[in-house]
Amino acid sequence: MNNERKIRVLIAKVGCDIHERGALTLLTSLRDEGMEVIYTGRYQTPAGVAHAAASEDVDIIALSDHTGSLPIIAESVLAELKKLGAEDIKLMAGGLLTPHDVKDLEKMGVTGNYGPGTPLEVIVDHIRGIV
Amino acid sequence: MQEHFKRAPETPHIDEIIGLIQSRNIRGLTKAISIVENDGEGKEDLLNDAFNRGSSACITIGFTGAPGAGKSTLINAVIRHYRQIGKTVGVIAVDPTSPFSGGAVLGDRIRMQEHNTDPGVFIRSLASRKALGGLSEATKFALYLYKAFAFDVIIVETLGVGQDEIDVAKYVDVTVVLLVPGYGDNIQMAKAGIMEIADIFVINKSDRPGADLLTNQVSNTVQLKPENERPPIVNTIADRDEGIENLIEAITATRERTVPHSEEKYRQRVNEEIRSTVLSHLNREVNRHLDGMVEEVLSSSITPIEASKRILPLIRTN
Amino acid sequence: MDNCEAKVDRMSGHMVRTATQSSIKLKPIYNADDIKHLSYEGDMGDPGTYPYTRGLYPEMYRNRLWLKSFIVSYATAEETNQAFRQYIDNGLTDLRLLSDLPTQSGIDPDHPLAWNSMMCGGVATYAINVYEKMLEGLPLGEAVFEFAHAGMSSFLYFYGLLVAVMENRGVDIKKLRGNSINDPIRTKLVYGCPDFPTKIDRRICLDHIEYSVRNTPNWRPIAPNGVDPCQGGMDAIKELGGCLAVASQVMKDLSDRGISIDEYGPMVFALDAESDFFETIAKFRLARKMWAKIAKEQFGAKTKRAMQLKIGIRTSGLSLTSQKPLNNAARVTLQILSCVLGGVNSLDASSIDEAIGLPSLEARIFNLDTQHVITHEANIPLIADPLGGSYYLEWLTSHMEQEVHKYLAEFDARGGIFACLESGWLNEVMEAGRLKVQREKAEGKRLIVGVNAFREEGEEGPINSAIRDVAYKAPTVAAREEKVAEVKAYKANRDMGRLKPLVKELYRATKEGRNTQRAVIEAAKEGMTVGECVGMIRVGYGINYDPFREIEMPDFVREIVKE
Repeated sequence: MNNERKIRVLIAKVGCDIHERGALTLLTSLRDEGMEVIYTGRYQTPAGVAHAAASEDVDIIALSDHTGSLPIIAESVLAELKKLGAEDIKLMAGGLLTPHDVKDLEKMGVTGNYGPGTPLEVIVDHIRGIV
Repeated sequence: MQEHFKRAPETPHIDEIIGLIQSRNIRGLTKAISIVENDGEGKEDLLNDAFNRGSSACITIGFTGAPGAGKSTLINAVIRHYRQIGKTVGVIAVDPTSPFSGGAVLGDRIRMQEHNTDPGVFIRSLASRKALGGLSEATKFALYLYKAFAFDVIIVETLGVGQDEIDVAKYVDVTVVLLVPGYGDNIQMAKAGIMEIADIFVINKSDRPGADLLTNQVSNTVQLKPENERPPIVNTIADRDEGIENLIEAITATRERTVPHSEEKYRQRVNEEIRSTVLSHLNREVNRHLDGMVEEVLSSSITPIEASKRILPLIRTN
Repeated sequence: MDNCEAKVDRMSGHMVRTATQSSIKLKPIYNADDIKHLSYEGDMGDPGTYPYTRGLYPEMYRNRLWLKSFIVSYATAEETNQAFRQYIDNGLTDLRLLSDLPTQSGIDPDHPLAWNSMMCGGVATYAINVYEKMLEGLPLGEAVFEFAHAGMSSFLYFYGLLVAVMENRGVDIKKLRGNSINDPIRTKLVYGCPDFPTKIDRRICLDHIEYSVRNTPNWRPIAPNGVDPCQGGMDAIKELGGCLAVASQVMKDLSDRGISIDEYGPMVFALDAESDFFETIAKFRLARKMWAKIAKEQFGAKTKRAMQLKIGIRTSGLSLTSQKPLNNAARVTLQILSCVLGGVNSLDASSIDEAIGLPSLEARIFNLDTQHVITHEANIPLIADPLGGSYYLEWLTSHMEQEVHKYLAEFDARGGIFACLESGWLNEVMEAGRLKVQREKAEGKRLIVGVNAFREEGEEGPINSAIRDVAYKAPTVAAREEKVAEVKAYKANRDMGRLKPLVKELYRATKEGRNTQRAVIEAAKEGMTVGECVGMIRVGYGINYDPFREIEMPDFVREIVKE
């Protein structure tokens, strides 16, 4: 194990959602799966997330939200990524999701879209498959 | 501002990346760092170009100190001050790679997030990966790239454990050692080499009990040096933005003081770099053959000494 | 590392655990020997007698049942008001007034960071106009209210709004009953609330308490919160220890302001009812016992009230699963039962569909009905502390007491609980606990039915599907835009001639170290918003107006500072 390519993930919580446990669980689990993971904390703006992801050259942003706002958040983050010319960075989402939300997100190109309690191996396999 | 982030192609050719760095495009810089991190194709061209283009106008500062001393918070305040006087800042933040999984939580950035959308600040988190001991290759090479990018100030935040604390001093202009009261002060200070490499001592969380005592201890140790070589001691309370101006002044003064000696230091650095690059390459090469040799020793056909002799001719030079 | 299916033989079945959820190792059986070191008078006492281990009142629930409550907070004030009335008709006795998350973080809906989470699961209660709508027709002098907000600014401000509305309607505020969480440790430890730094949190915590003690004697202005730290990773020992440490520190600080514990009256803790049945019951009994002793021995309490700890419960949201949600009915029922057997004062039980979305009306009614069944069909509340004297339970309560004492000693060794918060030690402890639980689940050492054990393969049955069919609609973009416009219009239409001097008074009170609560009430009456309240206090402390550094202070605030 020398300089092999590692998957770089940014876990992002945009807005005032205070539920952090899912993000923290994902953070340590992805590390245990050999990925390099950055968590920017709560209370992020879409621009802040996009800038961080672009600067850190991450492969994928994992959006976490439990207020039911994932489609709105994804839309604003995608817009900010576009401004930075960083559309190659992929997006996935997890948290409170209705079937309608999932459809909207998939239309935007956001994948994954996992509800609470999704087994970690499903999420990990998804990331490995998509980057 | 936004031009910094102009779109970089998805799988860019190395020349494109070099071009992007020339035009100060952030995506180009970060992708270049990824290439050197992952030992990707064109890495050598990138680094050679960066080396030749490297600006000596930048000041490079290394921040070292035990985990929990508040390095990230301090650096955050330092960035703020440099930005207020119009300087651009590039930060290399290093966190440990898990020896078990090979993954890492890169957690320094979260304490510097007020600068997230500032186009004059670039923060890149690096995992230590499997550094031989001391600063990882990626960190050293990233420094090249940052210099090519011509930031006014480049900050390296080290792990704070192991050899890399001592190592960083060879690669930066100013080494700041961070100490904190109540953290087993004697242990912090007794660590081999730490007192020698410091250009500046910062005592953070100076409102804590024990701060005065620690300041005195450091001061006493520092007195042992000849007067013109004594590193200044700065007291800070980073999360209250106190003492930071004094730190910046000390950094500027140190830089000015050491400029006359910079050639000697540069010579040492080049020496160290050549050595470490060769050794890293050797390490990789050895690893390619190691498992096979271990098997041969275990099946009792040869001794370990004989095995090591057999590896040497197999080492590729490219 | 796989989230592996626990290798439990479904047919023969055995337990994988030999310890409680908080990792207390257990023998298979307990007997008289295990509790012979305990004395009835010293360690237990009759219900209603010091140290209140067995309950606060001699006859407990026979005289009065526990308060039943849950959070009723929808996207609009009107919906919320309607729902309150409906639930009151169905037996709800305790109204928890909540707000949406941006408001809890101390910002108004027109702040850029509010956009994404606005009106999700709560009303954007930015000013008194919203409160008036939300409280229309509700019995302000008779109902019991609760504020469980995340940010400290919320308690100062929303208590202020409640008092303002009552005074405007001519209701005597001495009748106000209920409590504020107002816990300056929990707000940072669990939520990282950015409205105020801890120094300001502690000051306004005391301002709120002091004002309440003198003006609304039936309001309990602090309820140290163990629920959220527990959900964040603290085990039962640390949950209780944290609450005791916060309460003790606040009592010390209050005595510096000239308020004795006897003057303060009964303490309240907001605790978690977790899945481990007996450990939870032991925790409740122990909480009462330990607080009574601290009140008497450390603070010299002379009155009964000052030694009595009331317990308000939120059952564990963490224990609920979105897989096979019907199972949540079993979980919540057991948790409710543990609360009744533990002698709690008020209970907010989770709804079975809470892991999926906002609770439906039906699930909430089921919640209340479960409590009615436990009461009127199973007859459990007829006896006070029916498990008292159980070998296991008394041993466990006593063992946990030792463990909590050890934990409290750690705070003392590190300079107190606030020092532990600021050094990051508390967060490390909580994160270590969270990681431990995560690992145990991943390794199959902690089974969660339907998630890492007894998983459902194939399609869900009709009942589970029906529960899942609760569609939660986040507020549309149009609704959010409307709200922002509404806030802007509201701000523009206020009588600034009357408002400005009142906000200035808040600024002065902040700077001069006087109690800020009254100033907040008066300014709120004239339309000061929550964001302006937070911003003004921050400026009074010489820090930036907006905790997120996104917006500038409004002109009228700038003028106040200049004057």
